[in-house]
Amino acid sequence: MSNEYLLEIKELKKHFPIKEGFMKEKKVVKAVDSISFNIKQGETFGLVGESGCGKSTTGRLINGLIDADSGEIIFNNHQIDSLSTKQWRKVRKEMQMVFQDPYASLSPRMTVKEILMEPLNIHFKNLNEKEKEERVELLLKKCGINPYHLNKYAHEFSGGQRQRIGIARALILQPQLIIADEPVSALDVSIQSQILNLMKDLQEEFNLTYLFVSHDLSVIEFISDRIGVMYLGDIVEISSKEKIFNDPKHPYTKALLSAIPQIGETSGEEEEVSLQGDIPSASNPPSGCKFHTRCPFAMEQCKTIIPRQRILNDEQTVACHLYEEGMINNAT
Amino acid sequence: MAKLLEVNNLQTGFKNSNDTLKVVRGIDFHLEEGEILGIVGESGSGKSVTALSIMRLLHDTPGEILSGEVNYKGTDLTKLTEKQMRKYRGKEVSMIFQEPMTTLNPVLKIGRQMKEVILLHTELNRKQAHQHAVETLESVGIPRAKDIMNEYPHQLSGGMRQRVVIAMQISCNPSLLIADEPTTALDVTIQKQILKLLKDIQKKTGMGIIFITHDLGVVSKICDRVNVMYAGEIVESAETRDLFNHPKHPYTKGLIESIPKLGHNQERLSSIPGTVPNLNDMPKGCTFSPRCNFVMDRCHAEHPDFYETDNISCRCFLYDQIAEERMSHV
Repeated sequence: MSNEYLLEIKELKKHFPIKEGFMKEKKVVKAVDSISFNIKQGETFGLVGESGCGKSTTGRLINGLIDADSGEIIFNNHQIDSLSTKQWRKVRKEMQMVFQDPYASLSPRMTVKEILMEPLNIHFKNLNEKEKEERVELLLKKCGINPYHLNKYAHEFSGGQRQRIGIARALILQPQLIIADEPVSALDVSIQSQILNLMKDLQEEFNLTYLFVSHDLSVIEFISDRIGVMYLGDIVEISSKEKIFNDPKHPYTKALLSAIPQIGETSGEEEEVSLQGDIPSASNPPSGCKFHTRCPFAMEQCKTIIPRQRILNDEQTVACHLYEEGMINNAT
Repeated sequence: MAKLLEVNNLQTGFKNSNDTLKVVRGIDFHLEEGEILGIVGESGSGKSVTALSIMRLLHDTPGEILSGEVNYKGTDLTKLTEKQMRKYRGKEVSMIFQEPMTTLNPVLKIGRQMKEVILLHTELNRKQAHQHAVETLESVGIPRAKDIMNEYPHQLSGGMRQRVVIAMQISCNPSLLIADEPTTALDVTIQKQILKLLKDIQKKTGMGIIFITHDLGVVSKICDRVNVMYAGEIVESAETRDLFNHPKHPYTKGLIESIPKLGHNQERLSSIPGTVPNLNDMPKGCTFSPRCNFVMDRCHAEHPDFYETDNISCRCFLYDQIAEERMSHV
C-alpha cells in the first residue's frame, strides 16, 4: 500500500442550520468545525469529548450518514465525501457502524438470523444460502452468542447480548473500518468490560481498524492506540494512549482527566484543574480559542486568535496558544 | 451520632397478573445524622426502588411495600397515610432524580416552582418566600438567580437545571436528602461541580444524604459509607475506604476490577461472566452464585447471611469459612 493511513480526514466541517422565525438572522450549530486527523491501518483511534462536542457527528460524517459541508474524507486512498448513493454502497461494505443504543439499533421485527443475513444477501450474492448461514453462525459464536438463538427476536436478549449482535452485524461483511459510537455507554460496568474485551479480541482476529467514539476517557484510554480530544467542534489535542494520561498538554484534556472520579482516590481538599461554568452553546461559540471562557490559563490572545494545530512531537499535537513559539516555558 | 434513618427488612414487590415479583428482597441499613451513605449497584439491583419505597412514591407504579419498617427519627414512614406523608416530603425528606426534567414542570417558571415548595412547608409569606427562593438559588451557585426565577426550565443547561432541583429540594432544610443518580445525565466536568456542591451543602447544613449511583468512582469521591446491592439485596456494607481497599464480596471485587483505570495500560479488563438474574427466576441459595468464581456447593443450596471481616459486613459464605477455620485453630 502506498499509504499507511486507512482513513484521512482533512478540514472536515459540518454546520447545522437552526430554523429561526421570519426576518431573523440565520443561525447555525457548528457541530464539527474544520477538523483533521488520520487513522492508521489496524489501530484504534478514540474520539473523546463531552456532550455536544461533535464526536458523534464526526462518526456519522465519515460513514456518509450525513453529508459534510466541506473538507475531505479519504478512505483507502479514495476520496469518499462526494460519492453518489450507489457508490456509497460499495464503500459501506468496508466501513460499518456500531451504535450506542442496542435497543434502538436492532429491528424489533427481525430475527437475529434475518438481521445478519440481510447484509450478506446484498453484498455477497455469490454465496449460496448454506454458505451464508455458516458464516452467520461462525461469527455469532465469535461474538459470544450461541447460534441456538438464531431465530429469536432482539427483545429476547439482554442489553449486553444485543450489543454483541450489533457488533456481529457490523462485522458480517468483513469490513476494514468499524465506527463505534458510544458502544458501551448504555451498558452496566460488568457487561461493559465484556464488550470491550470482545472488541479487542475481534480486532486482533480480523485485523480491524476502529474509530471509537465515547464520552468516557477511561474507556477510551483502555481501547485506543491514539486519542483525539474534542471540544465544541474542534479537536484540541491528538495524543498517543501513553501520553494522554502521563503528559496531557491541552488544559481541557487536563481538566477532563481530573474530573473523572477514580476509585480509591480520597478526594483531596486542594483541587487540580477544575473547570468553572458550563459548556458554551455550539450555536454561539466563544471567539478565538473556544475553550478560553473556561480555561484557567486563558491569556489575552486566546480571546481573539484561533489556535492552530501544532505538532509537538511524534505522539502529540495540540491546539493551544500556551504551546506557541516562545510560550512553551510558561506552560510547563 | 444519632440514627436519622433506619430501614429494617424492607421488601418491595411489583405485582403482575398472577404473582408478585420482589425487587427489594429484605434489606436493612441505617443512616446517621450528617452522613453520606452510598447505595451502589447495577441496573435492576433495586437501588432506585429502595429510594422510592423510603419516599413512599410507589403509588404511580404497580409496586408496593410488602413488609418492613422505614424509621425516620422514630416515625415509621411506611405506616403514615398519604396525607401525613406529604408533610414529610420536601420538608423532612427530599429527593433528587437523575433527570432534572422529571422534577421540573416545563410549563411553569422556575420561580413559581421554587416558591410552591416553600409556601407549602413554611410560614413565610409570598414576598419572603420569593426572597428565600432567590437566596437558595444563589447558595447552589446559580448566577443571576433573580433573572432565573422568571425563566423556564428549558432555557437552562442540564447542569443548571440540576442545580435548580437541588435548590428546590434543600429550600426547606430537610434532614434527609435522597439523591438518585443525580449526576449520571451530566458531563464529567459538570458532574465534578455538582458533587462538590452536594458535599458543601452537606457540610453546611449537616443533613444526611443517601447517594444512589452505579458509578463506583463517584461513590469513592463523595460517600462516607457504602452499601453494595445485587439483585435486590445488600451484599456488602462498609466504610468507603475499607470497601475500596479490601473489597470482600466476589461481586464487589468483580465490579471494581471491571472498570478501566486511567494510566494503568491494561491489556484486558477482567469481567463478571453472565448477567444479572431475572426477577422471576432467582437462583436458589446465593443470588450471585451462577456468576461467582469462588462458588461452593453450599452457595447453591443455602442463602448466605452477613459475616463480619475487617470492618466489612458481607453476605458471602467465603467469610463464614474463614471464621470456621479460625475457630478450629483455637
